[in-house]
Amino acid sequence: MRRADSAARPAAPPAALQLRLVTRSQVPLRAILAVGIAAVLPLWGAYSFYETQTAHPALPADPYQVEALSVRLEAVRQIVPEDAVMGFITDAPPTSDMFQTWYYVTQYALAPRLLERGPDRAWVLAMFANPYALRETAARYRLTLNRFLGPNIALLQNEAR
Amino acid sequence: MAGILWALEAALVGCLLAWRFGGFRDLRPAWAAALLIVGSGTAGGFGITSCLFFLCRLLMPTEPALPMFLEIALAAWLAFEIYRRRKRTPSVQPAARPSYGNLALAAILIAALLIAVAGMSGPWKAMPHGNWDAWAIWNLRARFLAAAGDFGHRAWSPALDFAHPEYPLLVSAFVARCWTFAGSVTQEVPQAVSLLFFLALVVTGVGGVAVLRGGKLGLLFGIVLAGTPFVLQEVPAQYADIPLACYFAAALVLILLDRPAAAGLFAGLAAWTKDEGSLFLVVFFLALAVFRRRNAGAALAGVLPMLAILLFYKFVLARGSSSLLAESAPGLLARLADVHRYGMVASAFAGEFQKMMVSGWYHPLWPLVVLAAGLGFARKHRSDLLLAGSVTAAMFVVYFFVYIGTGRDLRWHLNTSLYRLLVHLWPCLILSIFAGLKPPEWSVTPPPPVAPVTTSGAERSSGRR
Repeated sequence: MRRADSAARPAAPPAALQLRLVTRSQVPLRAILAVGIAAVLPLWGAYSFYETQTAHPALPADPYQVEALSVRLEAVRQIVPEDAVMGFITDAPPTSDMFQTWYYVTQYALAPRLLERGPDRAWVLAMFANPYALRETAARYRLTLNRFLGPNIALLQNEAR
Repeated sequence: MAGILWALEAALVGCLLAWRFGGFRDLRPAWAAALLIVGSGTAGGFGITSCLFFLCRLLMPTEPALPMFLEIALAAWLAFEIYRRRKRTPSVQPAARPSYGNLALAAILIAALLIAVAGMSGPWKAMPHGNWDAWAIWNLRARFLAAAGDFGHRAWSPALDFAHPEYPLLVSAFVARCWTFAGSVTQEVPQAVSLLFFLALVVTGVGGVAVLRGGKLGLLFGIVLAGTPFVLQEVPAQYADIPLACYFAAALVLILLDRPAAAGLFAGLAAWTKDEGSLFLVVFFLALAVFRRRNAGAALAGVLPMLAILLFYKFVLARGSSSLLAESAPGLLARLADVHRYGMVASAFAGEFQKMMVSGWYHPLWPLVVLAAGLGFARKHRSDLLLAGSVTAAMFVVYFFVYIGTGRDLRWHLNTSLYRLLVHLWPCLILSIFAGLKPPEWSVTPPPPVAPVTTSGAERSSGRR
């Protein structure tokens, strides 16, 4: 029945073209504008992110010295066995940001070795802002120097353990 | 590079699982179904292979290659199974050509993603190990799990009190899996994992919304998400917040698509990603009990395996560790009754919403406002809007009260975590709004009788959207 009806009419354009024509003519301008604006606006958001991250980065490179300390502690990774639980001593106050940063970064760099605060382990890592204090503290706890890893970091050994 | 290839292998396993068991192949348009398979398959594959790795590490710590062989065997079986089924039932529906409008939107989406990824190169270079929590918590625990020998238990050692040993392990175990299989610990892996989770979030959302509300809204979902600076900022940070946001959104997409078992699985994966995921799990099931009771059973079946792993971890392996809940119990009632705290938390929420604005004028909410004003909401979609919207709104309320009740210093807690909690919920918020919108295609009125416009059966079913 439908076929007979359509045969009486002039040939219609292909279906794809018809759909486009209808879409163009009958989608309200408001909807077209909404879709267009909502599609283009977020590009500014993406660009703004790009700009802030590349041109004006919020933080300097390696702000917590993770990469730098990882390189300096590589020697410890070579010397101390992986199953060791190491001690950690420092002259930074325990509640200070410096203590947290040093301790956490050192733990990250030396994993899977575990780090514990204090000198009561066979291997002890010392991080001191004042190198003289490092020597004094090592002597006080009777720790022997295994090696210096730069001016304020040292790997110490507790011979008693 | 090998580590990234192993991440992609996990995505492949997930895609094969989604293809075979997800029930997505019959969805239309076909390109949206394909995106759903790729997006949910990637996120699901990461989660499932992470669990497999964790369980193998736990049960047979001296056999690091065991999960690798199991995965390869699973992938081979799935590929054979799919090939066998496709041979038996060849596809009869030709894929419809996408419309020019959709192609234009897809081009904008790709452009937005390329700009966003180019922006991430800055933080990747400046902080290859990620931001603070990345190396202090997530990647640190991944290093324990990846180390040869029986060191996995150190990932939840109480000695690591600062690294929250009670936190779930999905992200850390997945990164460890890639490092173990590749045989080297490289920073490219956590960087790529974070990016792939973000892409999976976008792709799942685009595919899901395209199936639900048509291609144009689907692609717009992706564009809006890819143009949200505060979400993009979290990708190179390498935290677990982007994976969590991905699982939240995927669970909502799948429940809206009436795939309750898969939705339950993703809600479970969220709970195994971060503690906030457990809150989501509770809220999600409460919403199902209210709005989709018929789906609750299947969703529960989907969540059970993840729940078993999570409970075993929390109550057996990491039972000695303190949690926010335990820390907050003393003095909780006094804090809940403190009106000053409410004002502080509310102003912090408002402040974070204001901080989302960039360049002094662009707020990620603007495209949503424009779409809501231009297209309007459909009464027919009210149940979907209610379901997704109620989960999102309830999560906002739950997060609000977590801050009211927290035993930690409130200002510090708000400053260090609120923006990340909003990252979890942002994709759910967009999804909720898109679930209620009227698709632009609906604006097309029926064709005039003289020149009838009829699409072929294939086109109609494939929804030339």
